[in-house]
Amino acid sequence: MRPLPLLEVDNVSKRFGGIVALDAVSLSVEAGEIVGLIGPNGAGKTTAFNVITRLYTPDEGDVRFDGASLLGTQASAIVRRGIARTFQNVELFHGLSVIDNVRVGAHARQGEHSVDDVLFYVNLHSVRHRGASELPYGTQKRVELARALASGPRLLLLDEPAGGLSHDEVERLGTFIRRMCGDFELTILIVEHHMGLVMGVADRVHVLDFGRKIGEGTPAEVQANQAVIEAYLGAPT
Amino acid sequence: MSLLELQGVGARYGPVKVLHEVSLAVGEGELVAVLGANGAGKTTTLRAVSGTVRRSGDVIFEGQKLPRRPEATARAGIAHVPEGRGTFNELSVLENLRLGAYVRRGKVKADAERVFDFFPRLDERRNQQAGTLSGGEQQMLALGRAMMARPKLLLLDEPSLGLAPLIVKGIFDSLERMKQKEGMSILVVEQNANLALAHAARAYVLEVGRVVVAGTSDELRANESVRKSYLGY
Repeated sequence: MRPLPLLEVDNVSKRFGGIVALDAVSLSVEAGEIVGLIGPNGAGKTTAFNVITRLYTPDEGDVRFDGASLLGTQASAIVRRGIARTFQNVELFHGLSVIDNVRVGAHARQGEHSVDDVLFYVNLHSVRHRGASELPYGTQKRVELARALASGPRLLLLDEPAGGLSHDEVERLGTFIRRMCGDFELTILIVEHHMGLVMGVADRVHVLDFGRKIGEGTPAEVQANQAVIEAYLGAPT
Repeated sequence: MSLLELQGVGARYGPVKVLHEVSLAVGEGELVAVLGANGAGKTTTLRAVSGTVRRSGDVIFEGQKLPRRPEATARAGIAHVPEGRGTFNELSVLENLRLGAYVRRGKVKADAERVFDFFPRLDERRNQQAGTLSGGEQQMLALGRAMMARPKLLLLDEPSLGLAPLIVKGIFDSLERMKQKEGMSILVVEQNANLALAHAARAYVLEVGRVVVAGTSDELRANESVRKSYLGY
């Protein structure tokens, strides 16, 4: 028998007025896996993250974590269930230093990693007393990652972690994500437009378009999927 | 003569100096790229031009020293698409576009339609609040708003950020068209260096706040260390 998935998004729909942001979307993530979520702009990727973290309540469907529904859990209590995330547009506490931002993550800590450990791990220790908003964009994304890690999550949701990074930094990020997944015993769901990164780190990939799932499979399968190429990847050049 | 010239420009955030003596130029109708790692000073270079950060040295635009006031920069014909987009989230898509034309007169309606032709997605959402757009759609809106100013010089901070690969290609093709049809000059910071160099005539590479390599796109592509660090082959 297959093990129970750690995360199950089960037939979830979410509407905003007349717009169907998610239309009966199902996806699952097994413990220890790195899963990619890709698709065109406005496909519903960030909405899916917001449903999983309970910022949104789905109109239909259920989200289960470790076999139990998350719908009875408020957004503010999600971190204590063991789910942490980063945001597409960076949502740090701009008036706070790096270390204080990470401490905010640690207030809900369940893991054994201290704030200092995490700061060293993501290579932010030397700038820990700097104001978070003074730092370059790519570094701010790393502060968000540290804040998420400090809460000791089992499931980590990364929304466009490669934003603001140059080619060789993205390559290093890929290696880093794989190592972090093992070192912190994480399960990772990652939204990213940098295909080199997604295809390099993900075990499986789900593809959304206009709120519907149009593809699923290993990176190689998804890259060869005609519907995905037409909606998203474009013909290889 | 260059449209824009930076002469020994420096900038700092509090005690942290992030730009040291940066000199660069953008010619009329030229697309110039700025490459560099996270923290190299790319965003600050654009901010120094638009006057949104304290700077030393001179910024010359159309032969005149540019005052360090963002509103004067905008009126001089420079539009800045900043990092983080800066769209007005309580306003509708169309209202955001109209604000882009605030510093000039005439043809506002027609230009908004031109933006909608570029980004059909924005057309579908023209009366929607900007804050309810997806991240990528907000990026399209920030670009569209800058186009509304009909600038002589467009400063673009990572136009590809958060956008799907197909859209990114479309944006660079559109920039190329705007450059050719309207003679617009563009200074673009972009992580996708392959794409930027495919469209740029010249590029500068920044490292720790200094220009370390400058040349034509072909020269940069032939440069071993640039290839390894930024192009990945």
